[in-house]
Amino acid sequence: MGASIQINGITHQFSPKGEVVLQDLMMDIGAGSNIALIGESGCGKSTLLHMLAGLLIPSEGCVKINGRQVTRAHPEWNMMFQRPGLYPWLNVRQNVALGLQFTGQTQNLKGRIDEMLELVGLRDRSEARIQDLSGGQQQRVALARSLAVEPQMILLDEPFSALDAFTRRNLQLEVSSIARDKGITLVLVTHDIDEALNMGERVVVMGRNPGTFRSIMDIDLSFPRNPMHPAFTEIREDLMDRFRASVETPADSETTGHTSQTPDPKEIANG
Amino acid sequence: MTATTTTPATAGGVEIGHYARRISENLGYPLLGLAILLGFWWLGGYLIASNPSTQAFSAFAPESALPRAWELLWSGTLWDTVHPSLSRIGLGLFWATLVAVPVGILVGSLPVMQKITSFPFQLLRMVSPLAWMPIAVLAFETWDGAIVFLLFMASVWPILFSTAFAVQRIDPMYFKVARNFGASPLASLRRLVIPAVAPDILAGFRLALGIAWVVLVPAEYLGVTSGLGYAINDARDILAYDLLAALVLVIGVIGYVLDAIVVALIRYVGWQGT
Repeated sequence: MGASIQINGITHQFSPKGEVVLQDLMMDIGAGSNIALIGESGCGKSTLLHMLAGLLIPSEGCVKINGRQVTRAHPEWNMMFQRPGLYPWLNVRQNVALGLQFTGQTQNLKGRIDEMLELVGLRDRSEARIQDLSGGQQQRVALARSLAVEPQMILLDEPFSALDAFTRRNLQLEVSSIARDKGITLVLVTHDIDEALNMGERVVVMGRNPGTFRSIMDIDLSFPRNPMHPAFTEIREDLMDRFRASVETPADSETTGHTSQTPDPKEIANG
Repeated sequence: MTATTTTPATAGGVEIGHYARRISENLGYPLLGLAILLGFWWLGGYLIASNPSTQAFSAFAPESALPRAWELLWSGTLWDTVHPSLSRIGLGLFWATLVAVPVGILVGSLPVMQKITSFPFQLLRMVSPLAWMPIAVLAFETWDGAIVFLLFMASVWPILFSTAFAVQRIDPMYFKVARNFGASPLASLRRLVIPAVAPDILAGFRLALGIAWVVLVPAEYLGVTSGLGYAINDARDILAYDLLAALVLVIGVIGYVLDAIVVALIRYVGWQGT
């Protein structure tokens, strides 16, 4: 069962007199949905993601997961980073076990790890050293490590950005499919509009100075999505326009994005 | 156009050549180095023996010392000499590791600790371990205790500094991953910090072992009636220069073996640069 998320009026400054990096963010994300956050560098996407993970506490407002305020990190809503952060002194199997061991869930460890390695297609590399894996395989290990703790939500902080196009596309499809199968809520931060469209049921465009939600767009295309499909191309163009608008338009001239779990279909169509 | 193929005979030749090269690299060069050292030793012995003013020390030469070392090895007395030294060095290194690793982790983890301890630790590190001898004699009831303290003072700094430095170098991403899974500080210490710094702790330990082994002999001049340092002092007093040279050889060989054990351990736990 996926986690439902409420972003309640988040405003954030890294120091009391510092720049406001996020301002008055409001959004509900339904359990089991896939959301992609896009925006130019410095708009606070990753900062927001860290708040959802409980790795950062907002200056004002709060994040609620399943109705409870997030005050610290929790393995059930864990994050995948741009670098997989695998421990090089451990092999593949031991890295997958890490999340379970950190949280003391060591019952049926072997069976659980085997299941996860099977799921990400690395069963035959279970004893391999991390240093001997490709970038894509390392991200698969990180994915298995995240999935092993049976998360309700996975937060993806550009985890595929360092991979080649082919591997990136495969992993996008796999992660998105696994999350849908298991009902895991997925929040993705990316610079890549195609990635957002490949994975997200809803794409949120963020603007900067300060970081706000500028536009929210539900993507009404079935999975797996085909980037060559005319509908995909059309939506991409629309999203590109929104992205450009978010870069060119100052934050105070826009309304802070706020949408319910099920947005108005007119809003989806018209942006 | 000429096609070339590798016949089994050629392949066999290449393989033999490869093995010969490996043997010469792994065994040949060290043996050559040892032969050069023996050559210098023999030359030194010859020069000492041919000079009337130093002739009394001619038993230093390998032709006297090597049979004496052989005799020492097989007579069973060598272990009685070596055992107390190994116990002392073991205890000194044990206490040094016990103190240096947790303190090193604290210093490496907390910038404020690093700032507080930097000056006093650097100052203490610069003091020769043997300079603590009078204080050690006063502070400890037994000579053994005093020697272990000197070995502790010799060993603690390399382990402490390499641990602290290694903790500072841990990739912050590893801590982020641990926090991400809600790891407790104890779990992070057990599954992240200690394995991450283990190769550096052992590298510091190796350095400490080398220093402590060097300090051991002068430290055992101190009151005790056992150990390699005492045996060397005793051999000098009874003018048994062949025994003295044999003991020097034993010290070198044991030091080399201990170092090789730590190097093997470093290779076993090592993950860096791979």
